[in-house]
Amino acid sequence: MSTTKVQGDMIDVDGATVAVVAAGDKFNFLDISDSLVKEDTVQGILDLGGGGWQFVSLVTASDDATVAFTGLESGYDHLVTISEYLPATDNAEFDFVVGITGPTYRTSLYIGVTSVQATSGSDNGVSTDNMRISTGQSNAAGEELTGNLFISGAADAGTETHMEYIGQGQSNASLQCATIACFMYTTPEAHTAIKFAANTGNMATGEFRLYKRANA
Amino acid sequence: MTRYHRTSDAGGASTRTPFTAAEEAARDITDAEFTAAAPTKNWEAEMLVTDTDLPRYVEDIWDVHGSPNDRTQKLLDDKKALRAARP
Repeated sequence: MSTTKVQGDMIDVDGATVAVVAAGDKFNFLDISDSLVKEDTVQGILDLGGGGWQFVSLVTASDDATVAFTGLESGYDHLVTISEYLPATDNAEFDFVVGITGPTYRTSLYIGVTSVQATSGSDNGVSTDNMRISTGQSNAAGEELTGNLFISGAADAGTETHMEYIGQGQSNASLQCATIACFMYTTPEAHTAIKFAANTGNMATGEFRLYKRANA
Repeated sequence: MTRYHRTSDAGGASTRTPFTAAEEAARDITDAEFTAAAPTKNWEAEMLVTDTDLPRYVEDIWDVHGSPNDRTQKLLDDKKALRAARP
């Protein structure tokens, strides 16, 4: 009869001290295919399965004119989640641009469509000098915009950067709006930065979280 | 009032830097343009709301054949009044 040996530190013992898992923590697993104990972080294990989303950073807008991330990495897709966003000025559009190392932000050569479906009517926008998340967002408390922006291969030099956005918000007429938008920067180049701004006034509030996921 | 950029770098560190004088001047221009256009944009948003109960093609039909009842006539009158109030 074979004997399987298990290390004691793999067992959750009642009464043991409980601690929250940190990003750098490593865990041991017994690989029954070769009887070796394997060690890795949670993120390392997720990456083996094709890659999971990894949190990068959080930026909280508080009466800021722009919010930007300058650390987009080659070899990764990126996701920006936006929540609790309100412009300081009622009905301000909400836009973003991408930039190359510097950062130098691009103000042309975009193509894209922003489709806004409201509880009454619809609105569509096409812009080439930036990319539009909202064609007009309320600044009233309780009417915050939330959404997710997926960025495909932004920092990969040989490919065009593609982006898709899905979100919701409210217009200054208190219309609930669902937004679906897609964008592309039409020249292949490495975009390592992304910047968000209202087209007028500051961003009163907003939480912007950047995540990355290996794309190779 | 000074405007600010809030930026998160590759390491996740967040910094807040003031606009340059050139950026302030450029933003002053775009803000003034928005303020000038705001009444029209707000009016367009209000007009959009009326499209649910009374789309434009229905309005055109009622203009020719008359609206069905008092309630629909009020929708028609209100929409025409709002259209006439365009800034």
